[in-house]
Amino acid sequence: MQKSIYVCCGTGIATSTVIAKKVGQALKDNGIQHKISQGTVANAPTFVQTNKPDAIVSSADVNGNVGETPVISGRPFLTGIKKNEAIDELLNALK
Amino acid sequence: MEIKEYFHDSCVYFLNLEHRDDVLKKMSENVQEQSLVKASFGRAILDREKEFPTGLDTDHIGVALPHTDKEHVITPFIAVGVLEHPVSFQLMGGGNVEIEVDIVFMLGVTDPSAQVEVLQQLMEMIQNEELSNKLESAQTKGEVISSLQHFTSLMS
Repeated sequence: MQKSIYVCCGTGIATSTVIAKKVGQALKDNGIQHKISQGTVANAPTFVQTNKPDAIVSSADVNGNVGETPVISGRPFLTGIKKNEAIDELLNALK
Repeated sequence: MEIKEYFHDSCVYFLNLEHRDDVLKKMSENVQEQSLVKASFGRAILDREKEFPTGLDTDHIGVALPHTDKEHVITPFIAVGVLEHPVSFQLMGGGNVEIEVDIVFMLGVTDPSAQVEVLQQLMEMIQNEELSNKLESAQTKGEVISSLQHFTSLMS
């Protein structure tokens, strides 16, 4: 089943674009069908309400109400530091 | 546009400042003097950094990537601020955690889809310890630019 991931950052343009590419690659490497949507962290609650993604990967703190949706830090996908741990966390969230 | 084309002597700064906002102000004023950004850029950068911090740390260097919406930018650029002593920035998506930043890469983004490659390369660069050390110890603008360009040519 296709998994839906919302990737976001403050502006929704710069860092989230890089993170989205890295997340997409990691999911592909793990054979997970997915659809990635990209946007701003401010829009995360709205996106969750309307699209019910399986996980959120964000480089900014998510302060809005996203219910039970798992939130994974996007920072490791940017810097490479603890990236494998972040991928594991994402894979677990998608199980 | 390749990443090395974004780096110019005129956008390299050696800064001896204490506070994050002073670093951001100094750099944005300069890019505005060069007409790379609109007058609204400086305020937008300060507000954005406060709301969505951009500090990132690796094992060997702390960087910040201040940027803001494309409507404030006229010509794409990457300004490089080499800080003579580390300045506290908040960690990107890290609650209120502060990190010590050595180099500031201020991004003037006009076309995110074209510039994603540049940001990705920048991220690879900061993961490289040798380059990070070279940047931190650079004494002249020329040394900063040549280290960056040397490294980007290795990646392409």
